Amino acid sequence: MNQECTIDNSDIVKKPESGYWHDAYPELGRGPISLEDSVCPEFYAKEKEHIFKKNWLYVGRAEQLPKKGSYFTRELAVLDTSIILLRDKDDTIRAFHNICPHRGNKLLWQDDPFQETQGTTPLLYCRFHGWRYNLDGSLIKASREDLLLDFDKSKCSVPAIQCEVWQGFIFINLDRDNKQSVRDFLGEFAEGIEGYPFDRPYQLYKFKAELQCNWKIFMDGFAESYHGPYLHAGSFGALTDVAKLDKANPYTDALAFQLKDQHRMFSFYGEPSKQTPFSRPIECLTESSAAGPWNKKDDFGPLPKGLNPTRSEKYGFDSFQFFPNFVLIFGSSGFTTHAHWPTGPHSHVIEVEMFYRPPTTHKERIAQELTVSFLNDIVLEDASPLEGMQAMLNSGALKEFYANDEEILVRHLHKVVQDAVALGEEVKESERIKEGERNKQAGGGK
Amino acid sequence: MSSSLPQAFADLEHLVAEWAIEDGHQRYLKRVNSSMDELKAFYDEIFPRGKAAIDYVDQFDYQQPLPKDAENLRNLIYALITVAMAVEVWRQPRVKHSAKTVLTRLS
Repeated sequence: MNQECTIDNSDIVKKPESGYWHDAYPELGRGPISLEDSVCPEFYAKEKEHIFKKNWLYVGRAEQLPKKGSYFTRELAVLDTSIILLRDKDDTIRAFHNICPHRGNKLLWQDDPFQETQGTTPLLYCRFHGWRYNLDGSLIKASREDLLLDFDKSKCSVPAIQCEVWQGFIFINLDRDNKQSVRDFLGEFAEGIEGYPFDRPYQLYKFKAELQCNWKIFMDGFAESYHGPYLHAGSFGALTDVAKLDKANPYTDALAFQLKDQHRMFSFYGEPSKQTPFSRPIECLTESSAAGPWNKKDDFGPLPKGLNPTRSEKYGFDSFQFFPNFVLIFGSSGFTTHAHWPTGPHSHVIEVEMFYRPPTTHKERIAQELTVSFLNDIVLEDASPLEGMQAMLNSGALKEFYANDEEILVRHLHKVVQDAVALGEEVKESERIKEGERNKQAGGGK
Repeated sequence: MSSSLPQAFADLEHLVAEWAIEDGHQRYLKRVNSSMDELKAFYDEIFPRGKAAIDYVDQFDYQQPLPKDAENLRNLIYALITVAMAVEVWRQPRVKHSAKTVLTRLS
């Protein structure tokens, strides 16, 4: 009856009645978690093979390729390759291995072949022997064609990599056999985010750090806010005061955790940024805090349905961790990306890009400078235990670690990584057996 | 000689060469390579002028480049923000427990 007046609340996320998020995801288990995936060099080799070389990876935004012929390169140790991203003359964004198919010279770099570069070019030119390629990778002309023997021009292209753009985020996939679109891969979370005004102009703040810890150890820190009152005791006093009660903490307990396939998210408390008894002098001066400039106007319109999934009035931000290494955070200042690029089993580079609403006055720009400076010191505070922690994990003193109900995303990350590696090894083994059988049959036929 | 700061802030002139740094990464390096005494001295001198400085810079159209003297003043405000983190939050030049790790600011 009266169905028109019924508000559809079916997509509002609620904590299970038991009070434990783990009860919504019984398949996760609750026991200790193996540390092998963050310590063993052998595991890292498998992780490269079965995860990083098989999945869609975020490498940059479409705005970084503003016109036809724009390009940038990515030096990605975990993929054992350098990648060219470019905008072709038909506006298609393409990805290639950064290699000339003639003799293998690296195509695009400046003074140092291991530094990333960017620019604009009408074609891909190899400076070793002067071969030229179209922006779709096909050969325009080899130098001195009269010297070529048995040469099939159509087979001599710059090796392409699958590349798709979702909402302006450029993804690549090194798996030649991949049949899944990036949108399908990102799944329901992506659907819930679509509609966010990603295509507006933004003020970009960008940071990078290399840390001597496994990439997952860092992601774990950004997958829970339970550490807030303790690790950030010096920087966020308010959290610590409540935590002294040692019970449910409305400031740090997540509003929601959600797991979808290999991806995960949490929604987090946050009052509108404003003056509090804890505001520091510099915050009062710039009228801003780590949570963003005070009293900013909210002109982004209604949020897409996947944001603030509990529809809480106390909502502050949402953090989505897309498998394997791409984090997308939405807050009142705009959105932020984290990309975690392993450089070895015990080291990685974190890249932070903050896309903030463009300031319209100098005062607004100064307020953002406070937020950005504060947040990036907080990132370093988040990172501060991790290098010592990694060294101790490497000692082998522990084989497992614990994760509580507020650490459910930590559990999920390690589970999906370990599952993906196990599955990859299984597939490889069964292919090896099949191959052996084929060889036997071929041998028997002689 | 023309002043590198607006007239009302001429008394801060001696800070410009060392502290009026626009680039976020260079500013951060300046902070972590300074002693706490140096940071505190800079902070104590400029903080009381902060409100007036922000108001001064804010009267200019954001879409237009700032006059050089206002730009220097704005860069001193940026430096104040960078230094205030050390003075007000960490009470040391680097983030507490961060050892040698530095976040490189690229833009």
